[in-house]
Amino acid sequence: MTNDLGDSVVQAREVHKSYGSGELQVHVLRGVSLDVKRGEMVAIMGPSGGGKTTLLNCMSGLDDIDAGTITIGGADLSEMSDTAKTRFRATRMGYIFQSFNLLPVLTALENVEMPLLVSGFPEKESREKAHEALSLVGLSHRAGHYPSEMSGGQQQRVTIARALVNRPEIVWADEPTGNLDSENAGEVMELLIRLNKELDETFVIVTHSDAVAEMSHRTVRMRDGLIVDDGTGKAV
Amino acid sequence: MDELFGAPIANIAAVLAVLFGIAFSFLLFVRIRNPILVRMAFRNVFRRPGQSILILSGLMLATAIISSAFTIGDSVTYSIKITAAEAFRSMDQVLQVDEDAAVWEGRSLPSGFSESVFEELVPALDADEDIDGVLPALVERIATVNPVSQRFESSSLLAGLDPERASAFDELLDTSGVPVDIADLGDNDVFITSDGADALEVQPGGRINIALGPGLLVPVTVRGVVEGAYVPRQGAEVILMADLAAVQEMLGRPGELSSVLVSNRGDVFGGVELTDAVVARYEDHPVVVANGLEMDPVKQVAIARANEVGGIFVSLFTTFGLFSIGVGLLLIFLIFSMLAAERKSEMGMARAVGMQRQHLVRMFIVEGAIYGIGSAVIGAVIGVGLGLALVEAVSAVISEAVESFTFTPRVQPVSLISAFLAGGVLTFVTVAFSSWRISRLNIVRAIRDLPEPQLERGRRGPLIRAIVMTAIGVVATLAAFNAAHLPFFGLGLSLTAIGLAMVARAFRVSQRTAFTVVGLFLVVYWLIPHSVLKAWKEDFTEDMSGFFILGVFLVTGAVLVTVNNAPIVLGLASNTVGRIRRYAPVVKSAVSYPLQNRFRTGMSLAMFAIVIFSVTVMATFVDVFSNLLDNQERMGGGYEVVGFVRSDLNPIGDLRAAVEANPDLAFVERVNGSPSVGTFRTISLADARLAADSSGGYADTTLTGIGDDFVESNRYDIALSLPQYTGEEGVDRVGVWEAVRTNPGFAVVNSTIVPQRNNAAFALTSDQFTLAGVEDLYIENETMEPVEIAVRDLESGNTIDITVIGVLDTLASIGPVPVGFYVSPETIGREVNATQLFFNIGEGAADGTGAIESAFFRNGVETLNLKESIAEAQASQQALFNLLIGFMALGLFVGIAALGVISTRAVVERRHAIGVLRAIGFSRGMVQLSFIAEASFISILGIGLGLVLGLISSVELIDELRVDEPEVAFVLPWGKVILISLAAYFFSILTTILPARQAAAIAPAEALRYE
Repeated sequence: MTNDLGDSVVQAREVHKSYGSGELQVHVLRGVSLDVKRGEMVAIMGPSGGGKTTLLNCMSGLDDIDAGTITIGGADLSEMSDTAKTRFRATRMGYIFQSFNLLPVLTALENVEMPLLVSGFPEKESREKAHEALSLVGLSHRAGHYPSEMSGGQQQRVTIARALVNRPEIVWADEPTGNLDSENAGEVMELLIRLNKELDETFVIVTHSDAVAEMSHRTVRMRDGLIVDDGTGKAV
Repeated sequence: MDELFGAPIANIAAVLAVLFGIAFSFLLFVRIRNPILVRMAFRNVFRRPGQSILILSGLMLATAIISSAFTIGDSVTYSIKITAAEAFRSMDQVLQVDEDAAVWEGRSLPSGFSESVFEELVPALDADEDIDGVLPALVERIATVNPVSQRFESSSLLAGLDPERASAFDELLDTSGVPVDIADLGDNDVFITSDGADALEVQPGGRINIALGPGLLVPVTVRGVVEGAYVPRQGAEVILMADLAAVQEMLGRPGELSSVLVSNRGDVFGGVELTDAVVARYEDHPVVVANGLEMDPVKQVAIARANEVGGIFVSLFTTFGLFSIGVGLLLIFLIFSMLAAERKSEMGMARAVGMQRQHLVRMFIVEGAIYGIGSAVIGAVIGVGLGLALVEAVSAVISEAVESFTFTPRVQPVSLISAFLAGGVLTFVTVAFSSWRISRLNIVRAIRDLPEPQLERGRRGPLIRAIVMTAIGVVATLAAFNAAHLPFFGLGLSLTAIGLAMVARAFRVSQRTAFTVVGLFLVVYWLIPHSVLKAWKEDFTEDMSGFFILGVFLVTGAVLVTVNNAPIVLGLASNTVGRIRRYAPVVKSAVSYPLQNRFRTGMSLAMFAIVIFSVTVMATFVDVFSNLLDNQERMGGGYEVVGFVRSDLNPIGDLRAAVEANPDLAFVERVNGSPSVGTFRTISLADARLAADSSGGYADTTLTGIGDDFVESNRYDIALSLPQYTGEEGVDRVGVWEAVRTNPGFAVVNSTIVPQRNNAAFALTSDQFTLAGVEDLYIENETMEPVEIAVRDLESGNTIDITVIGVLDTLASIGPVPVGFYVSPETIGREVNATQLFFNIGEGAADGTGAIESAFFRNGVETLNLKESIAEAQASQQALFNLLIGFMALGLFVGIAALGVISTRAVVERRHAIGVLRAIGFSRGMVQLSFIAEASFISILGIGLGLVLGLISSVELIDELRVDEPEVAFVLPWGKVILISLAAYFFSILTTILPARQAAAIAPAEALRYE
């Protein structure tokens, strides 16, 4: 698989992260460094407890790090306040979760337009963009449906539309196919690849699935809080 | 307080104890059979202390309301009893002339009886084991004057007492606590009560005059000022006690007694226990019967009255607390539904590992019982404090109505236990129902925390329940229609409609359609003016229950429409506050969650709406009635000052002439050159019965002769009269009064003894004569037929046949006029002294009460300024009603607690969603704001619904009132309503702030980590 890789969007350097304290302290990330280039689709794999999701949360600004630096598009996340980080997430990042995490009380369209409303877009414009995003994932006809009225695959496509509606610099995906059967999982991955190609969107995907890894440009492997293979062939 | 809602309180407590015992036995059964369930229940209670405290505070409200109502009742009862005990001291019965005795039939009633009668009875009385003292007395109403201080008291009592027998009664103590004895008094010596001494400004050793007639003053020396008296005060300010023989001589009635005071064994309350036996023993005693006497159980009657008043206060506060108790129970239901939702997957797991459904029910019941017992204990105690605070506030109102009232806080153990048991049983029953409902779950769906489907195909349960509900509704509707009871008719109809909606749901009609239709039906039906329904069925009657049924179903209807039409409500919110770009996402989240959780939102909305509804209607009515009462012209018939003649010693003959002759009374209005005054000559010792009902007994009444001066100057309205006096513009009042004057035998009657079609609640029982036996006579009628009455003038022994041709205006009837019949002096057929004087003092004139009292000083006239007395009555009534409004508003705490519980639960429930929101850009502040906005949305919507429905209902109810009372105007008490609404909103937000902060503090990565 080939792709025209540009500059680094994500730069993580010597990232450390622990949970708990004293004897119960768990050192989850032990000095992780990783670069992700614009338009790249990177899969992060490894055994459970290896630190994949923690790395994703830290790089995406959902969690704080104990040491090291993370820059996204040149902006240092560790320098940002919680408010600034929140605004940064709203305008420049998208998220896809394993269990879809749509807001159950909002329709598909309302779920998709929510990040735009949060970013301060006018309601009309938000709605138009949300419609566009839904049609991008092939769900225009389900715009008025609630999550409970859709299949798992459809819900994940709504999540993807929500992640992309802001045209973010990077989309973080945590086990995007983990809750789907193989057919739906395949469809979702094809969609992500299509969007990666058509929109030149950057994806970082945490996964257990070899199939997903195979479709990515690069596979990063982690174990015990360290990257054991960053997929570039360089020693880590 | 011995009774509540007509049932003995001891019996109520016993029934509650049995029910509580059954509930407790069930808990013991679970403890023995399934100890693990009890352990789990306890651990669940202590798992989240904050939430448990919130639940306890919500649950205890119902108990607190019941407990405070009991406390009010007990305190009022006890205080009145103490007042009665102080008034009667050791006297339990009084032997006196029986106005209803057969021997007086057709004869004038004597003012007393001979001492020889007493001598005949003494052997029996002295030998009576239940009686420990008898005291012969001659009591007379007199006037007293202090020539030094120039103080005059027209309403005084002079009691002559047998000194030899007085020692058997509680001894008299002077103000220093030193015993004094009647036997120590000389012929012209008296003891005076301390109140009397203050009124006359006299000290021991001082001299006062007893006025026995025009120019007939008897000087006496005050030998002591004492606390209390042997005889009850009967409204008198001054009581003088002297030697019996001296008083007999002073009054010129040697050898005569007016009464014999009888004391039973036992203390001040214990003696009353023997009253029934004593009264029964002397009822048929030959000496008593032959001399037309009776053993009157005066103290027993006073104590029964105290119990009745106390019972009325409990009924009043319990009834007006019903909405709060109801929403308290809704909260219990809501809390348990939410607890079940929270533990759904745990319950699924428990079922998966072999726990039966009944085990889940038992576990929840045990948990509920722990909360229930805890909250009942706390609620009962808090209720006592609340009740004492409330009764302190109402004591001012009661002291207006009850003579010499001193408030004494009191709580009977049986009341406290009853409140605890009632709260505990109510909580237990609600918990049991909730537990049964929530234990119905699908194991797989529960474990995976999937939503239960709306309706399962092939399940007969919902259809059967729907049919049962419809059937109950139909039966209730038909029964209420036959009984012509409008509120229950509406209740039946509403249940039928809800039942039909449930049937429609069972046949898969969408929830939105079914419940919107039934909601709209309920709103429309309950807003139909009652005049329309009464035009359809004329004999429909109403009572207090109508207010509660209206509130429940009107609010239910509005809530059903609201929660089942989320898109419209959401659209409204989005197009208003949501238009502000910054708040758009917050509004969307804040409104969407509650509208998706229809059950809990509906319950919370209902809690707020129903309480605000009741408070709004009540507050409006209080102001409307207050304004109605503030109509001096109508209540006083155009007169501004009313004089009461307290003494027969110097009767007033022609009032007009007296006013004309006195230049100090020039301020009295003149009509056609004549003073605008009126005279009443009332016979208080009278009884009456319907002429047509010759078998029926006579009941007490009054017969008032109205003077020509009154007929010519009064502007009293007539509420109801014969067709010939009734035109399109109502009753010709002048024609009716003129007919009474010119037709001997014609009478106008006070409206308070005419039955109402719509029953008044919370009235004291009365043995006064009423027209309840007259067919189809109601105060609400357009016209009436003449009613023939036989009235006995007990003072003369004459029987007078009268014909009622009109009913006095309802507002005038509660003014300062005697309750009874108003006839011409010719009808009475004998001379009766003036008892009441009316003065029209004209516009712009200063308060004439002082001048009038001075002018009629020698006639023993006391005056009443109508404007002032109306203001006083209004103030007392307002105080009581404001208290009731405050009591009703207590229910808002339930709504507030409900929001707190919901918000706390939402934080746990939406942890994941909060993570998502934070991930997609919601700041901490936005998360916090969205939680607060959500609580605001529910509370504002609930308050708004209650306010709008309350206002519409008030307008309609007042329109109904206007049919009978055209002067009623709609006045919205904005101040009270806004204050209560703002307070409710403020506290709702306050309880939401903590969970909102917790929600905002959730770290997104943490929240998203756990699925």
